[in-house]
Amino acid sequence: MTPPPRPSLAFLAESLAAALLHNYHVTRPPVPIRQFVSNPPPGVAGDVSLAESPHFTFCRALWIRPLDGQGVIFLNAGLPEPERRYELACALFSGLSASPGARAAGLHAAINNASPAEQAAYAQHFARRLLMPTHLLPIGWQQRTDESLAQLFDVPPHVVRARRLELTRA
Amino acid sequence: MSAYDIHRLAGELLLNEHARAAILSASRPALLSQFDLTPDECAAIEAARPATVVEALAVLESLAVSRDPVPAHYPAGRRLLPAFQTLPVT
Repeated sequence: MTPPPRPSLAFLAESLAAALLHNYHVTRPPVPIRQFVSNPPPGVAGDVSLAESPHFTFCRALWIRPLDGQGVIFLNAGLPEPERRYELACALFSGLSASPGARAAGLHAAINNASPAEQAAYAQHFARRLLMPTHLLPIGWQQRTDESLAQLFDVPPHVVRARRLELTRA
Repeated sequence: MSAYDIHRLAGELLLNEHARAAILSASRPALLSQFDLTPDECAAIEAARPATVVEALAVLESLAVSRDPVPAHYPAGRRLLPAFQTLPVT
């Protein structure tokens, strides 16, 4: 018996990014990632919040759910801002993956069953699409340097290189 | 036509419990009317009559693929289970 079709993780990650960008009326870069986390959509408010400090040197960004049930992202404020935004977006994916909707979609179970390297890859996939969405790319982006796009989107240059690779292969 | 609106609808199903309830109920047409879907796409969703959120999302992904072909670098085994492994780790 053929198992029922299931959505891909790539589709779910891209869909989460699209809904966030639309709900927050993002029309130009840089994407206001902190707004998504500090004022999350009601449906995920119990899964995402932000604690940011230069004293969080034990991590770059880490999502956890303490005993009180409120999901929180610990963000190392000692990182450069572009790195911090990217790490925050990756950690946001962990929080969103634990939300009721993600559980209903099977995303939470799929992430939990993935290896740490795969989990990181999915989170990075989401972060690139959230911070550098296709519809916010400037006309002629292909001719712009990685550094120029990194500055425009306020992301690290390595994120631009990875995103450029994805877009040129598409 | 971009798949953005289909992604947006799928994202709402993930973020919004009211959207999840609507897609599985008689409120489905009202929900779909809020997104830029073609009549054929709405008909395909109606015909599928998804009973779960997973089914609804799978239908939406199939529609998104027909709008905006999946990049060739995505492996065939990219479905939710088993997980795909070729995303670049940055």
